[in-house]
Amino acid sequence: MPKSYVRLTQPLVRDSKDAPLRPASWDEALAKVVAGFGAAKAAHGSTTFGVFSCSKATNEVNFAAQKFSRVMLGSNNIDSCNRT
Amino acid sequence: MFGAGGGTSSYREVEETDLIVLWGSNARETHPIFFHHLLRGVRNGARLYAVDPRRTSSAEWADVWLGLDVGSDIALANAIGREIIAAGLEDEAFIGRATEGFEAYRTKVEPYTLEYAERETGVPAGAIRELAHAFATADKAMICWTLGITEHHNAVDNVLALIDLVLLTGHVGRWGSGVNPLRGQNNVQGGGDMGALPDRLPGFQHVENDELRAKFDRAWGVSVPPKRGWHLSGMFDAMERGDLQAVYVIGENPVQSEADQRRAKHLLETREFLVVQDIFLTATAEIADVVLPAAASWAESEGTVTNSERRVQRVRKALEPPGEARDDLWIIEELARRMGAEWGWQTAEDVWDELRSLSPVHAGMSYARLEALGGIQWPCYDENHPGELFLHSRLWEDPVPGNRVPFVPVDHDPPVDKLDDDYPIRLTTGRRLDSYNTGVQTAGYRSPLRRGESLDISPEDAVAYGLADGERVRVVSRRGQVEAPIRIDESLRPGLTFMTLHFQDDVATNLLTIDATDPKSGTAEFKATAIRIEKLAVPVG
Repeated sequence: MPKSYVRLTQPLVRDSKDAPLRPASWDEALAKVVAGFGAAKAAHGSTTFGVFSCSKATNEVNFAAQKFSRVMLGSNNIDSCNRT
Repeated sequence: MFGAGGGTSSYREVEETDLIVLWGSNARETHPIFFHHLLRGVRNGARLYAVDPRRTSSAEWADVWLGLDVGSDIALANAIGREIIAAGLEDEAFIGRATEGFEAYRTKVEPYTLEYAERETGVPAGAIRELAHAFATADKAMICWTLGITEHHNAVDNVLALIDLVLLTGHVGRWGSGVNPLRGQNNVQGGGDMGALPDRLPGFQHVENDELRAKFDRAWGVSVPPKRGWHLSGMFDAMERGDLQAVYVIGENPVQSEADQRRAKHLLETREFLVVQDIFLTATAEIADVVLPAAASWAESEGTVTNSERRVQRVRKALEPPGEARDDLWIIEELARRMGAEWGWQTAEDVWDELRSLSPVHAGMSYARLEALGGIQWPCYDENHPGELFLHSRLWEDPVPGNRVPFVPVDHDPPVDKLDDDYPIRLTTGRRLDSYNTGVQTAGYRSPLRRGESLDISPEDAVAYGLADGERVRVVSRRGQVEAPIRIDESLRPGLTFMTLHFQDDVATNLLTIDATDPKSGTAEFKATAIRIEKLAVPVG
């Protein structure tokens, strides 16, 4: 039987690569994202980023995603689920 | 070739055209809204030709079905072009005025005789000839295509071959004539329009154009990287080399939707950092380092979307997202804020107005005008501009302002995943009416049409391989294997089988498919996999 999906209602984080996902607050989850992006940029530079944007999301979300990629991550590696 | 990436014609035009070619599109099941418009056209007297390896439910509506072999579209298109020229039916005045490179095209298609094309495509020469003559002599004609021709390793060439046909016959730039890629996801057109592309800023402005990029640099107070980035397939290749380590996925499920699924999953789960923002815990979210719960864009967000006739329309928030799920805009802006930037967006309209200030083709589309007019088709340059019903009318002015449109001659190039004794059967994949992509969003809804995954096979092959309807078999490709029940389908010819991508948790079809991608478009050859079928051993009791 196909899995019937349940809506995500809280952020989830993983404390290490081996650990399972666990619920977290928005504050903790967003801080982890910022830290992860920062570590990646410091280690590898801006070309290490890739953003997969969403072809079901609004125009505004896609505009925001490409702005985030270009302005905050410094990367043109963005695509919008348009190859399948 | 035309300068902007969108269908040339409005949906209304297909109701009033004289001839429609549905090429590599099962619109009846995959673009039902557009298909309603198309059926009105048929009812109004348009002739419908369906070009598809399968005799699909769309083809059932056609006057003629051209059942070509998978991946032989250029052979067919070039043969049609050659026949049009041989019969003296090309639009000489249009070619002379609006195009360039005709001689090179004529030379390229010369070997594509009807006899050659019949052998190469399997379509009878008489049917090819009839389509060529009908298309060239129709007053108005439209070609509509979708993934049937673009999910190939030579996707761009397939499209160019069709564009060459409308240049040959002048079927572009006029009401009721044009080329129409039918976009699948509800805002895939908008995603590209907004610059969620590696080589384009919002409004199709090329990132490598220094002057255009400088406009964004000034507006945003940064230096946008001057070299184009990688599209999705390029990003996976970069992951393989170790050149891409941090991935931010918004509303996509590449672990299940990518060709050669095993490779895609392995590459994503070995990244240093993976963030997934989605409404469900998809297979991709399950391997992320951070999962951010988002609002559903069609019911829980304000904004706009763009459809296949370039029409931007408003979508409105009707519900609050559940639990602590937040709007995608809030998430992205909040991340930016925490990284030191204040973007000052209070509403979705603020975001749209920023976009309008930077994208000339959207500049005149305020929310107020979109709401008053029920949507506006780009380009719409100012608040007095009504938007454009169809594109490229300049090609009918004399002399033609701007650039001439070039013919781009292309060669037939059969699929990459070759048939041989070990993998003798062609598998093509696609979609059905009742389900959506990897099934994440539709699995929660019941449908009387939905019947689970199957390996659809011709009656002849069922007999040849000794297979019964409903019998479970193993399907094997060079990359992986799955098990599925057989389903006998008369719309398939011997040697051709069909599966969908809708039931990835049960039957992961993309374990079989090949990620042979067109380097220009990044689309993988989902349409042509080589397989063999193995009977499952009968268990001994």
